[in-house]
Amino acid sequence: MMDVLLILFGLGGAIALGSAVVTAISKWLCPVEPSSQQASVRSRMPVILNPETIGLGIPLGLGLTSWLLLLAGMAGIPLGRPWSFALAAGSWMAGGIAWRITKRPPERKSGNAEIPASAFTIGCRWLMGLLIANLACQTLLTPQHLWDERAIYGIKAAVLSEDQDLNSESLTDPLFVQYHPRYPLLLPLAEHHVYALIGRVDDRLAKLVIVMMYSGLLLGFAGVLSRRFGPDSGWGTAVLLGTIPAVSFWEYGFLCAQADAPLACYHGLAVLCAWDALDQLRRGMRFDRLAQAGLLAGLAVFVKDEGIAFALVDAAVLGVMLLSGRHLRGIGLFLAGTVLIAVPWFWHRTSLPVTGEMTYFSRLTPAALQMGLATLGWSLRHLLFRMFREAGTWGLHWWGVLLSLVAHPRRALDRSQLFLLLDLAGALCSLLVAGMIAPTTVEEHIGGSSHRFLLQLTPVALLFLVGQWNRAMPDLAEEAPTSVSPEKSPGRPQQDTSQRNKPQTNMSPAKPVRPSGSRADARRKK
Amino acid sequence: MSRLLKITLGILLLADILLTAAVWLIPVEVFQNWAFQRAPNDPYLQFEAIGQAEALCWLGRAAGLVMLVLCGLALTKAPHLSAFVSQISLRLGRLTQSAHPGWRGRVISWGIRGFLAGWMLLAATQAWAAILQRSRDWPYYHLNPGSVVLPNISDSNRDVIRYLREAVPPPSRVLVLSDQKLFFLSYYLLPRRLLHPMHADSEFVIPLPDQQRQLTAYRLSDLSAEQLQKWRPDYILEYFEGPEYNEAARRGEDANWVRFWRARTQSADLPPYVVVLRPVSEPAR
Repeated sequence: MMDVLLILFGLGGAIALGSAVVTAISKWLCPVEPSSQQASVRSRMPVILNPETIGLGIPLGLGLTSWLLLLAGMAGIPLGRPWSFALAAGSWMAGGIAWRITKRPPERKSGNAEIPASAFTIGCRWLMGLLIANLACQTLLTPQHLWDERAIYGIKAAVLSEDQDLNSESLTDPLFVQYHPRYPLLLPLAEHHVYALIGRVDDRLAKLVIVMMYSGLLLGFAGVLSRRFGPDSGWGTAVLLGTIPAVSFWEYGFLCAQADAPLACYHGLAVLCAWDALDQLRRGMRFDRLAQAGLLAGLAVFVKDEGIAFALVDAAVLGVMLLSGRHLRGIGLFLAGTVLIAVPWFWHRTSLPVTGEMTYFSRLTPAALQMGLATLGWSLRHLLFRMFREAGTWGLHWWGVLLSLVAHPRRALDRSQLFLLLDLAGALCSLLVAGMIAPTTVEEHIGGSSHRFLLQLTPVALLFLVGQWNRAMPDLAEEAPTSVSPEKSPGRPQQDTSQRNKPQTNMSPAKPVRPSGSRADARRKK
Repeated sequence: MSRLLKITLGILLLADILLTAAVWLIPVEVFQNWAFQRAPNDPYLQFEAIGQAEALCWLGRAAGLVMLVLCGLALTKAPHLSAFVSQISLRLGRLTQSAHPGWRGRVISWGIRGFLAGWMLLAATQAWAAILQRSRDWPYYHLNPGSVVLPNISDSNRDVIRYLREAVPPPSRVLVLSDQKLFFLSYYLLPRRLLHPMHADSEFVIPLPDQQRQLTAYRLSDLSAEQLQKWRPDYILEYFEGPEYNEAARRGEDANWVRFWRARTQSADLPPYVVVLRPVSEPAR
């Protein structure tokens, strides 16, 4: 019982920290009532308690906790229990401050009628809760038992926990038996945080970190898509994501402590934020979204090496999309977020032993690529087989992507949808290139990892599918949530009412204003 | 709708009462015995079947009670529930309605609904498969951490880990020479530190179960005195299972290991692979 309370204290602190950071970025870069906060205006809750803020905040907070542990370790601070407790307490404080700042004044509350959730939304929320509870129960029933989760991540977490030193002699010794000594440390540090809080190594309880990431991914999708397409569509999409077999029910998905599912979470949410910014570009640039996307892409780099390829693809595609519209500040914020997280990690990485592990970037030469061309035929056939013929095992989402693309090819050329399509294509190309230059045979390399790689792209694939679908459904466009007009609020710049119907910068769409009033007013009208 | 729902819920409640009463009144041992009799004649499968029966029995007991409460609540709130279900179904219908008019729109709408139904059916099937897998794992894992269970490794690895836990005090440094990749030994033997000089030819080789793929390894004679001095091991372990290094003459070299292995297996034979552990103060062969 004590263990559970300590884990709740630690992981709850991480959530508070992440939510506070999301809120702070929104307040800093989008000071006029950002649309991410509008749902909370209607639901009368502090912004920090939005599904969207919490959804983005959970993985961000968990990742930032590991990142802060990395910084502390690099500064020579022992990574023991006191530091983990201090970090958790500080995170709670940060959350508390954000709560205070975003708490609505009483007179503001009374001015907005709360819109009750529809039966469909409520049903989806219950189903999502059931999916999370199911994953948590199954997680507690399985100790870490797969190859990578023990050989790459679990072992480093256990060594950190015992030595309380980021520069432990073992982790820097090339002879010490660990797999991929230069692999990113987000997961080992997150697991170590749990071990430090409970005071012992228990590789079953450490996996609760992954359950939190799963919750964050689903909530993030529900929150952002609720704002874009309406609550029914948003929560429905979250349920669809949570019911993809590869994500929820497969041993190598969120049920294990390997980095594939966490990478799917960070990459998926980074792309979701960037997509959200692009989707609203005509109404004004959401700089906060791009900064958050950058941080999440940086954490993807810090969770698994494939994250480097994903971040490069994200930056390249986003760069083309934004530079064409001369939104230099937007791409700058994305890159700044990524660099902020990734640089300390890469710096520390230079102190880790170099074994003959698969250093792809050093092998990326024209000669190696030319030699690897012969592998492409096998790799492509294999990937298509995995995506479409094995849909009964991994999920129907790739079929959904294909069908939605064929049914609505023009919609796929919208800026935001094109971003997703190019991002998916770029990521798949990076896998094919990795297969071309890997030192093992392509059948073993791609054949043994493609299912996990495709899992990493699953949230983006679903986002593309839902983006196509929602633009195709007239009902959803009609019922997408309307924004509330900016009101006078202490500490916030007040906007001229004459500006409301003009295209706005730094601000979400100004659609027709929902009449405000109490529930009693609404009943009287009926 | 409300009346039909009430009847359905009533039947469900009745069936649930009967089933829940049955799983609670019948002792777990009856289910275990039933599963044991149907299991194949293999000790592992029989052990698994007994454990799975126990897990499913307790799952049935818990789920039965939850269903009882839910069905009871649903019956008392049948009109609300009926309206709730109707709203969900209407909304789902609208969400999946195509913009196209006429028969084409109907085909697309029903196509989308079929796709979603397939999605949910697949999810339900896989969720049930995952639950069954957890019930199969239950006899091995219970609620123990990996350091107690030593899951998903070969029996020989498991024996060597247990032997080293007894023979090597923490936090010793153990230099290992082996034709295997020893990540799991390293993981479960912490805080003892395993040092394994990996042969360059084996670096990118993915091992296969039961030594189907022989990995190249260093022997003790390949290492120089300077290397040993540099690595400062407290113990040296030689552990070979592959045909190229598993010399029958060396299997009985470590008397402590042979004693440990015989006690575990209740056998008078020599172990089938080479395990030789020696403190560094002891002269190497």
